[in-house]
Amino acid sequence: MDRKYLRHFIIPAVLSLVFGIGFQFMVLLLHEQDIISYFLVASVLLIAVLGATGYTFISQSRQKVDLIPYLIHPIFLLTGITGFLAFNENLFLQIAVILFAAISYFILFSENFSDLTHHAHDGVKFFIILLLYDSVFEGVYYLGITPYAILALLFFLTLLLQYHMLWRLRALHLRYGLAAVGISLFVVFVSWFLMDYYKLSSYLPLSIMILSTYYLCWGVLHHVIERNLTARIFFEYLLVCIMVLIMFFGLSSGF
Amino acid sequence: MSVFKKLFVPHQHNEYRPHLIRSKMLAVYCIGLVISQFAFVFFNGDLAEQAIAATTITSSDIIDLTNTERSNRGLTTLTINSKLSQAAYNKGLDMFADQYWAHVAPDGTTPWNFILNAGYDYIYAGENLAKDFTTATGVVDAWMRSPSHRDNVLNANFKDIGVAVVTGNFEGSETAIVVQMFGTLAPPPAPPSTPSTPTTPTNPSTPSNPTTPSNPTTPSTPSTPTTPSNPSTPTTPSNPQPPVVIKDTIPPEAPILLRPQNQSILKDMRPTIEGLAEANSTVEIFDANNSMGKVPADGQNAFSYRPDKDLSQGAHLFGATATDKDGNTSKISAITSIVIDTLPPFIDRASVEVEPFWRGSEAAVRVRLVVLAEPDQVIAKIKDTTLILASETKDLYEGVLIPPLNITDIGEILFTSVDRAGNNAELKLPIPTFPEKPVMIAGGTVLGRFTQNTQLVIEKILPKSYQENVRFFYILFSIALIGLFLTDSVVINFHGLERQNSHSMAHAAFLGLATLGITFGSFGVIL
Repeated sequence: MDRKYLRHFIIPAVLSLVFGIGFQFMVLLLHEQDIISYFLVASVLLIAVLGATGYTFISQSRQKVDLIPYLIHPIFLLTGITGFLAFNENLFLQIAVILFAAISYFILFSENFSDLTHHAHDGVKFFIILLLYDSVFEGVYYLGITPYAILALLFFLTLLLQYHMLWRLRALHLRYGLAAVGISLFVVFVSWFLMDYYKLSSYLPLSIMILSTYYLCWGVLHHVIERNLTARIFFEYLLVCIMVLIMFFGLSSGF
Repeated sequence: MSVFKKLFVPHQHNEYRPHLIRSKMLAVYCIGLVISQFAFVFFNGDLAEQAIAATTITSSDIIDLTNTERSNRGLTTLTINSKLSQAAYNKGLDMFADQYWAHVAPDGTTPWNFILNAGYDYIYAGENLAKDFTTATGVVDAWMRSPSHRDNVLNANFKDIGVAVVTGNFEGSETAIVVQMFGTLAPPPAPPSTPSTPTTPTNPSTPSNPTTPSNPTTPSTPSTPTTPSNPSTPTTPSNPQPPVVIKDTIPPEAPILLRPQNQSILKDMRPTIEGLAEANSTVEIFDANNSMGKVPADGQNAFSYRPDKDLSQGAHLFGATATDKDGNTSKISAITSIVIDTLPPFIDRASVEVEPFWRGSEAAVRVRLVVLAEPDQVIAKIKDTTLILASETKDLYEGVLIPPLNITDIGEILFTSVDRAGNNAELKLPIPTFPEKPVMIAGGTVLGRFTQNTQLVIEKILPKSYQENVRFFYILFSIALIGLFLTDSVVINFHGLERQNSHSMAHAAFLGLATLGITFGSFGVIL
């Protein structure tokens, strides 16, 4: 077997399968209401994530790399899905999310080696943010902390993930950093608006509506960084964002 | 073929960008979605039956789930109280009638008014609301996720519960509103031997912030009778002046009539007329040009007058003047126009049609009847299922009820008709026997079983309500767009042009997540 094929597809596929089975096991524990074991398995998976990331980016690339930035997305994905599964009890939703998470791990562990999965990384990033946003809402309300904690956490997470993306794009410049802060503030403002005036009882649609703001802003900034932003691309992002918002507002209020 | 290729397939001649996912088409989709939304709302009336059919929430399910949450935490289960159920039902009807979504009605009526009016004298009470949900589990889950609602569900002070699921048209959409009321009855009055305690009307505080999903605060402690505070010591002026008598020649301001409200319809033949006038003046009340009587305004400028004889049915025009101690009379107040109506609407018994039938595998009852004398609402009720009947033509009301359980021995149907004054008429009728449940396909053969199972699956999957129709359409639409964006991304990657349309994958991923939200998201609202 071609070693390249093994590295780029087989090993990431096996790793994603292992994580998928692990998440499914966590769901079974949730249904048994065994919360301690649930977090225990999540901790074991955290160690597995560390090992898999180390193997993928140090052992396979055979060069000295700072592992921390590579760990951001795998660990955030694990954190997000642990929170999401704990708070969303719909079995079909859990299965769908586990499937998405397994695919995401496949993309994360093979992205450096394939152009197609490299572009799919945008999708993984949106998925991670969605899981984290939803977990923040659910967690803060579950714990009964002040809703302002949601805004603070959303700001922190949005900024951190953008910082990470700037690092990935090798664009850690002051002007892009300020743009990331601006985007984070805008996301917080939209979140505050939606929380205050749009009282959906389910946090999944709310999280996606906030994600659409991030999707639009980051999409534009990303193309600015890559110096290929055109009016066509800008309008595509804007229109896809508007389209999703129309669908969500339509479902919730019928205008 | 070339048109198809241009629209759907990324290739060299469309610059690897199918026309269906270009900016112009995306703009067209946005406009189309907005137009379709308005169209759905416009034709909502036709979908009303389907919306109600999709609501599987029953009050008994809500109560069971609530009690399960309580018993899981070692709390006592709540007992169903018919008065609280009636209060919840009345609150639901009132929200549909006045088209509001709040704990406190626009006219200031609080949940506690509904509870007291139903005859439930409480010391503790609470209310949770939900709308736009299609399952009881969804409602209770949403309440349990909200700290303030959860506090009500798990409040150890509550002993009784009443729940009503009321369906109807709210702001142009058919929906179901769930009203959950909690309470604990006040203890019986003290024995006569003990000195009687002055009872004050229980007056729970209203929701401190109705815009947040907080529920109305319940009186956490029994309201204690208030004793008058120490009377203030009379103060004397530091520099007493000799009294000077000056005759007042300025007429008072015209009184202001506060109640009844202008344009209101009342069923009280002796309505109390309340308002404001100059302190200590004499207020004369008029009906058209005829004096009805006089009443003094108190030191707080308020006056209240109740006619000593019944007023006639029909329109009345109330006005008032104020005359001060020096005989100066004000101009007449703004006129308040009311209508007194004590006659209930008339349900034409001969016109009532009640037809049980099978809608697929569900038992359903189609009703049609004529109600005269301008009813505001005509409601049909079978056990816990209520339906506000729609009127396509004057006086004729119709609709389809889906009983909560798929049973055929559902007994009686109750029609209630309420007019704007609050007069109501009721008619209870037995429901005719259900026809035989139709067997779709005779089983026994492999083909027969396959067809039967397929039909059941299709019946399960197909949307049944306005919201489900829209949701189903959005899911299909999003999946189609995801397919186009993904194909585009794969093809340009295959051709090594990844920088050209590298954002297609991002669009596909984002739409994929949105589809997840559309499919699994709950769009209900709690209060």
